[in-house]
Formats: sequence, C-alpha cells, structure tokens
Amino acid sequence: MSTTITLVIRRQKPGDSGSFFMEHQVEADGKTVLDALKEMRDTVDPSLAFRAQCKSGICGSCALRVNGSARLACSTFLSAVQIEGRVVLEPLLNFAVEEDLVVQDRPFWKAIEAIKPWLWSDKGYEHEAVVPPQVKNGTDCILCAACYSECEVQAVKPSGYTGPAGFVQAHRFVADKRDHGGKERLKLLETEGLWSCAHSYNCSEVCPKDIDIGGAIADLRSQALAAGLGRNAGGRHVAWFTRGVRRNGKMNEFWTLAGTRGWRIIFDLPTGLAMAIRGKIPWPWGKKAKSSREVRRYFRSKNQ
Amino acid sequence: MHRHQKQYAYFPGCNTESISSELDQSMRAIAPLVGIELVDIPEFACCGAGMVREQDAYAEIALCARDFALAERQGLPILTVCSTCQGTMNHALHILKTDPDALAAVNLRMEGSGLVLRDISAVQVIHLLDVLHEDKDSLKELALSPNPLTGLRIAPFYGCRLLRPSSESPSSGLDQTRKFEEIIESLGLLPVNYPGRTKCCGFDIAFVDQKAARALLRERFIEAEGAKADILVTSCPLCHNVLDGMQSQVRSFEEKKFPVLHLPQLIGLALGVDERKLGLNRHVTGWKR
Ligand code: SF4
Ligand code: FES
Repeated sequence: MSTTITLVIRRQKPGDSGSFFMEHQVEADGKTVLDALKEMRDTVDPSLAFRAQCKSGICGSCALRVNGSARLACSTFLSAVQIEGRVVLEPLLNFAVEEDLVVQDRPFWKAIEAIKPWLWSDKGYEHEAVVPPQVKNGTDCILCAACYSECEVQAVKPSGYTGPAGFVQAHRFVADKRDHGGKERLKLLETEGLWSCAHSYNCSEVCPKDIDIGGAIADLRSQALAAGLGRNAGGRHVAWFTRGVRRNGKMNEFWTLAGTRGWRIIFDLPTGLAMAIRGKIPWPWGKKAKSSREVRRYFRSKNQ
Repeated sequence: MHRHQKQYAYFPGCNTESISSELDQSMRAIAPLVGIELVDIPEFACCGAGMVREQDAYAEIALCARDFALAERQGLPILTVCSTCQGTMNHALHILKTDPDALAAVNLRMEGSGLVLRDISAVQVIHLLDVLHEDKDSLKELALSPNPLTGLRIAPFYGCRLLRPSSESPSSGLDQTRKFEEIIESLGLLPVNYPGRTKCCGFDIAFVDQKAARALLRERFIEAEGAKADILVTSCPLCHNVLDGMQSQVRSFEEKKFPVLHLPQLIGLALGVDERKLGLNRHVTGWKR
C-alpha cells in the first residue's frame, strides 16, 4: 500500500521579507525529500527554488530544514521523517533567504575563511607524513552548513564566531603534522569564538556525516590551554573549575566564578546579592568529596 | 508512601549540593512518595561537567569511571537530577563501552584506590525524568486534585544535555521530548508546547560571553511568553541558575517574570508536599499562588 504525505514548503519570493506555506500531497514510498521537491517543480510549480547537485550526500548543497531540523534533502527519506503524515520543509536558519529554500550562504563561507582553512607550511612535502585520525573529521565534512543553521550561538553572534564547521576545519589542520600553524592557529581561533561555544550539541546532532563537532571543539580548547593560551574568561573558567575538582573532588563555585570573572565580578554583585538573600551563596571553602585526595591521581601530572 | 521502593545510588552533582541545594532538598522530600530510595555515596566526586574534559580529557573519563565503580560496588544504578551530570557521565560511559583501552587505563588508575569497574555493560546512569516517566501511571494516582499548580500553564524546559548528543543518551532513539509533557499530564496538569523548550539556556557561557549568553536566555523567556506560559519547570539545576537567578538581567521591570521550578518541586507541589520542604523560598523569582 502506498503512503501519501503532505509536503509543506515555506516559500519566499526574492526581495520579499515575508513568507508563506504551500501544501501538496505526494506519494512517499521510496522517495527522498529531494525526489519530492523535483517532482513538485516538474509537475506543480516550475518556479520552486531549491539547491542540489550530487544526489549522493557528497556535495553538501542540498541542506534544508526538515520538520524543524537541518538535513540533506538527498539523503532523507520522507517516510523516515514524517510526523503525523506531514513533512515541513524550510530554508536553513541563520541565513537570509534568497528564494524559497535557497539561502544566501556567503556568511558561512566567510566565517570559515576567517580561520584560514589551508595548510600553513612554507616547506615542500618531501617526506611522507602520517596524519592522525582526527584529520578525518575535517576531510569528512561536506560543508553543507547544517551545523551553522542549528547553532544557537551563531544565531546570537553573527560576527566573530567561525561556527561549528569552522572549528571542524581548524581541528583538521591543528591535528595535521605538516601544518606549522601551531599556537598561531589556536590564537586565531580564540578571536573567532573558540570560548563562546555553549555546549548545546545542536551541531553534532544534525551533522549528516556524524562528525563529533562538540568533541573537536573540546579538543581545540584543551590544545589552546596546553599551548599557554586561554588567558581569557573562557580559559580561566575551565582552569578554575578543574582546579577545584582536582583539589576537593568537587567543583568550587566561588573560585570558579571569581577566577573566571576577576575584577569584573563587581558587575555581578546585584545578581549575586539577589541570590544571596535567598540563601544561594557559593562559599569559598566549598564542598569536599570523601577521600578526595585520591581523586588527584586521576589528573595528568602536569596539572598537579 | 509508594508501594514499591527502588534503590538508587544518588548523584546530586556539585551545583545541587551548593547553589541549588533546594533541588536536593525537594528530591529528598519526594523520593519516598514516588518509590525511590536514595542511597548516598559520600565518595562520589564531580563528573567533570564537560569542563574538566577541556583541560584534561582523560581525567574526566577517569572521574566518571571512579563514580561508576563506587555505584557498582553497591550494585546500584546511578540516579541524577542534573541534565549535565547525566550527559557527562553517559558520554564517559559511551567511551568506556566502545574503547577497551580507555577502560583498561582507568582500571589501572583505580587499582591503587581499591576500586575496579568489573562490568561496564551493567553501569546505568539515569536522570530523574526517565525514572518518573517509567512510572508515570502511578503519578496519576498520587497527584492531588486540585493542587497548587492546577490551572497553570506549565512550560517544561528540557535544555540541551538531556537530549543531545542523542547517540550517547541511554534512551537513544526514543523521543525524549514528550516525557516532560507526559509527566505533567499524569499529574493532571497542563503542559504548554513552545519551541524554546529544547534550546540552550546559555549557562555554560554565562560568565564567558555574557552578551551571547544573555541573548540566548532572553529568547527563552520571549518564547515562553509567546506560548502564554505561567511557570517554567526544568530538569537541570544549571539551567535553573540562569533561568531563575539571571532572569532579571534579561527581562525589564515591566516584563512578566516566570517562576522556575525544579522537576522534584513540580512533583512535590502536585503531590501535596509542604512548600517549605521543597525549598521554594530559595528562588530569586518568587513563587506564590
Ligand atoms: S560539520 Fe557536518 S554539518 Fe557542519 S558543514 Fe560539515 S558536514 Fe555539514
Ligand atoms: S545533493 Fe549533494 S549532498 Fe545532497
């Protein structure tokens, strides 16, 4: 028996600021979102605009939002994503819309260019170099911008934030032994929002290539700290948090906050006072886990 | 008192033990009523919260492994009331299950402390939301009608770490985003649906990139207001810290303020537990009915 679903497409004409929804019934069996879009364009409305190239999940051009989450149109089967017989298609978030499902993607490329995603090396490649597996993250990325669309920090930080795909690309070069960027590369990343990621994992969740983007960002941060960077609120936050855990087995809220904010803590006094009145006071002495001394052995010796 | 009591190794987490101690207080108040027996393990250390990982990735996994070993020694599943502890521990669990070298390395480290992780496949880290959802039918019988929350439009706030990355969650593949609503409905109360419920509260960058954090937090209230919510309820004390504590930073004097409950406080109010036992007086944005 064939299954019919309702395709709901957000349409927007070039230059218009408003959008409207168009609904159409399609047979879903064996069809991808892209198949359905092509069928719509061929049989219902030839002006329907969307992007696609390879139909194989390789070129990255067909990403759009399907029922509220970014996916590749060519690799998403209607039957797998329909909710109560409906599939809602919308353009990616965090972009201006060019027309219908096509977005103006220039900001995405600019954000990635900002981290200089090429091999920094003035030497030739006379020797074979073994590259570690982390490089695979960057080479797997098809630059589809699904992560950019779903990143909530990207939404509130339109500049000075390279975004998930930028971090993935950077991670690829930081891990590459042939690259001589080292500390300079990590420094550049700090100006591109390395410490602003809020760990929402929206990026990892939608990446069609299953790249552990959150893990890549965490690794970049720890490499920045190991290189003596992180001399900012983000780096101090991690360092003071970790210090408390190593010392007492528990994080110490007072020192994490004071260490992160430094003298700027005076700006937090009104909020701090409102919380203190309610008994929410982070005491400097903090809590201790029983036999917490033993916990120290779990940390790398250079942190001790 | 609930008919059956099930024992759990209770992992409150650092924030719940200090700034958000009302979460601990309310959890202890409702536990016997909903069939949970909390076993305290004073040796439990911080899970690392995804922060330690950024300084020393190995240490975070080792910290979690140590906590797993402590619970395993008692033969108990770990119960957490914090989405971040849940997420961090399930991340470590995922690594220890899939990377035998990591497991061997942490066991070597723990040898000196007389701890060992024997059966990693038996380790369980469960969030209170999942435990309550499993037994939601009994909530129907236990809830009072009317209760202090009757008639209010309740906006559940899942936040990030309870849901993502879903590949590391113990209930991976299930639609987590109905559980909160179903619990609220079982209590005979009214959940409201709004897009912000699965988004970020901004806690992790609240002291790092304040501008971005405030913008995120502000959005959450605009969305809740759009859904005509009266009150928010969250499964994570860190979300609570900003949703409650920093609400006045992102809402002007004239704008509506939302009381924010911890999950066990919601249960407690619906089951008729005395407000004082739930620590509601510790919230910055006051609750009155
Ligand atoms: S990291 Fe994943 S989601 Fe982001 S651009 Fe690359 S392939 Fe797409
Ligand atoms: S059309 Fe190339 S990835 Fe979908």
